[in-house]
Amino acid sequence: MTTFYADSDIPAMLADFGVAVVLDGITAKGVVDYVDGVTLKENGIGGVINKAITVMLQTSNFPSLSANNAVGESITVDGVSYTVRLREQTTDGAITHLLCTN
Amino acid sequence: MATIREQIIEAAVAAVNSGAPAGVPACVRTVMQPAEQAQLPTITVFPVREEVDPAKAGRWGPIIVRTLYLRFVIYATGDPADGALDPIVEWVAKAIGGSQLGGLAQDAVEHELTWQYDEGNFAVAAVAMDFRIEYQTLRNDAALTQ
Repeated sequence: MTTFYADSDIPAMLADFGVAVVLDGITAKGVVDYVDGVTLKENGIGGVINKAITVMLQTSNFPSLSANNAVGESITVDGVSYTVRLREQTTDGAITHLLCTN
Repeated sequence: MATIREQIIEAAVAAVNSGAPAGVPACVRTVMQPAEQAQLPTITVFPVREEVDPAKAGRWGPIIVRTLYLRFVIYATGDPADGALDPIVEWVAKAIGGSQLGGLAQDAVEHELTWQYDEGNFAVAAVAMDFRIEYQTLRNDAALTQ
């Protein structure tokens, strides 16, 4: 049987290792990941190292996540300002992952 | 002695690096390592394919005609990222297009350009510029033209 984090499970998880996230003028906790990857290689040559910045949030904390209009919005993660470039709700929708760009 | 192909690639690198305007990075041969954001823009060049046509010089002739596909890949970041590539593309086309690369080639013709994009914490674009380099060698010695 597949189980999901229910909305009530998430705050405890975020409180444990989350950072401050400001979106829609609301401050709440989110979990951020910074993962470098190589992109745009051509025949195995060259390429560029780029960084994927992903923030995991509780969907119900932020209106734009529920309204599905977060892409292009400004977001502050752990004191750094970004723009949301991709929004992906997962499983039952209680968690949203945002990919951010400088 | 290096093959004519190898000499052509070295001549192409020299042509792009000679008299390049401000903002055009140095062209480096076959860079395997990816670039960091602070190192952009970059240019690398490498061979991707070669066609050999023995018929042009006759079935029993001593010469074969070759068409080398030489690929320049340029990376840049900006907004829009492809716009940042444009002045570099212009210079590479000017430096290589129509060149005989010091007498090593009969002609160098722009063949195809392909753009790709990616966005992580910054936007980056790459363009692959393929040139068709026509040259000839002896049938049994790729280091000699005649």
